[in-house]
Amino acid sequence: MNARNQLKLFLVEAGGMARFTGNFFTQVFKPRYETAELLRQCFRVGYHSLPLIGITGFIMGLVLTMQLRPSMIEYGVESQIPAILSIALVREVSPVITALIFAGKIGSSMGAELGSMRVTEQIDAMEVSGTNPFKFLVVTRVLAATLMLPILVLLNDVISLYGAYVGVNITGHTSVQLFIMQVLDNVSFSDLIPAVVKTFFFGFAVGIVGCYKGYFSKKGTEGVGVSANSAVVVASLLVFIIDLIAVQITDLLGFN
Amino acid sequence: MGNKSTNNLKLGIFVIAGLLVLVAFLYFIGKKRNMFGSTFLLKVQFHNVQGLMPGNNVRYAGIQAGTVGDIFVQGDTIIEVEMNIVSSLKNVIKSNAVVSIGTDGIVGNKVLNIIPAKISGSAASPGTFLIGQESFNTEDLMNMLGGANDDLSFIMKDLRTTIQRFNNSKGFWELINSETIASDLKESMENLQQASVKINNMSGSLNEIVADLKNGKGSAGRILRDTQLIFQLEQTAQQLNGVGGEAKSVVEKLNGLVDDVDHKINNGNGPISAVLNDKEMTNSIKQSLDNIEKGTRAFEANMEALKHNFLFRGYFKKLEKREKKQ
Repeated sequence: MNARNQLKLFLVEAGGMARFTGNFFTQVFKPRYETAELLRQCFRVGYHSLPLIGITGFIMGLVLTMQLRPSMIEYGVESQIPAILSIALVREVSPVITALIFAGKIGSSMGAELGSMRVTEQIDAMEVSGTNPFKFLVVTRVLAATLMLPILVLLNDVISLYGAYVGVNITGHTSVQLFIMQVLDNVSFSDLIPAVVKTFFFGFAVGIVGCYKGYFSKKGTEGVGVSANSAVVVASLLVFIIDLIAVQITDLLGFN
Repeated sequence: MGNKSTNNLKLGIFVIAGLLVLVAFLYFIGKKRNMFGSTFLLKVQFHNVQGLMPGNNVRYAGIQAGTVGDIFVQGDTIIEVEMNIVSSLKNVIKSNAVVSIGTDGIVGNKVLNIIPAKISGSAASPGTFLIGQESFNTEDLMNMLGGANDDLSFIMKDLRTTIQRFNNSKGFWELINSETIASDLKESMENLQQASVKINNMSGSLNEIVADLKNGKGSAGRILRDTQLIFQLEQTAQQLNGVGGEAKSVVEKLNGLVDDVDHKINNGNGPISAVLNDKEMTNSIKQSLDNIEKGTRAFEANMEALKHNFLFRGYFKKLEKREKKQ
């Protein structure tokens, strides 16, 4: 009975989220556009996330290099570290890690922010005052997340590759020029474009889940916490599911 | 308001930076694939492209020259490959350049290598077919290596037996360990050197002799070179010929003489003729000779009797002793 209830809850949640997404698409193209709020959200979501994501990316590049090195030396292909790292970072590590950090930081903040607005009845007040809360709060946030995550991922690519360069140079010596040449030699459009395209979906998923959880937060302070928490959990899970679907699609299209 | 514009500025920088990264990535990857910038088309045909794909790199003398374009199947055996070559190499690649399929590293992607010909040729114009060179693929190489491996194994076996024989051979090790052999060898070498010096001198002398012969010096040289001598020899030969003729007439005269004598002996009355032709005389001579033989035998018997006679025995013994002494 409990499992059945849970399944029902899950399906209700999924249906609610689908409806929410549908609402987003109906609202996003309708004027009036909340440009100022969108820019504010972009600044918060994108610019403020950069330091955190930059540090994570740098460490990820550095650590991956140092972890890979012994195995690569064992196979006698130490010189191929930049090639392998560039593909690993650009294709998978950087988008997924950035999306996860993004889900942790932005998803939770959206859930908490909208949840507390719901709890304190600000959203209701907006509806009463004639402002469309969905357009003002949800559309701007989801759009901001969708547009900013790809930019964060691209910047993270560069930062993590720099981390990899530092990692390569800890024990060996490779010039910046050679490193860049090796990276560009191995990264192709089929690596970069699918990786960038999927980050739009990651950003969208994080934004939608964060906003949905916050928007429909349960009453009480506990509800805010639950919203923030479940927003992070579901967004992170969705990131992986979308990643799986993306790799299947790129494989089907022959980009791999 | 001021804060808001600062935020927007920061956001702008952030977004532009991100977009610049994307553009830079796309540009550099595209540049690597020769998507921007002008290229020209060259073609080549192979029987087997060994897994070459559109987009693989083309190298000219080891430098990046372009990418592989379309690959068509022409007929049932020929594969035509188009190469997009950067325009900067338009006058560099000659029409007699050879194209072979290689691998980037041991297990890397396939690459087309354009190898410049050693003889200069005309510049390859767009659409020119370059000469395709079929190269070994990995399978051929492995087969070849397999054969070489078998050969090597046989050689190693033989080598092992040879070394074992060497190891078991006392004479060989004695030879190796012998301290005198080095000095012997050295001595032999010195002898050889001396011999070669002598041979050298000898050949010098031979040279001189040959030179003398050429110049007509010495008797052999004179024979070979002196024309007067030859003339004299010819004269002598002619004279000898004349002498021969004279000798012939002398012999003929002698023949006549002998015939004459012979005739006289057979038919004449002289003593010689009588001895040779008279039968009675021949018989009486024969009888006389018989008598002489008989007398000689009788005398021999008398002499034997005398030897045994006691009066003369001492004398004969003395004679025998003297002979023995001598």
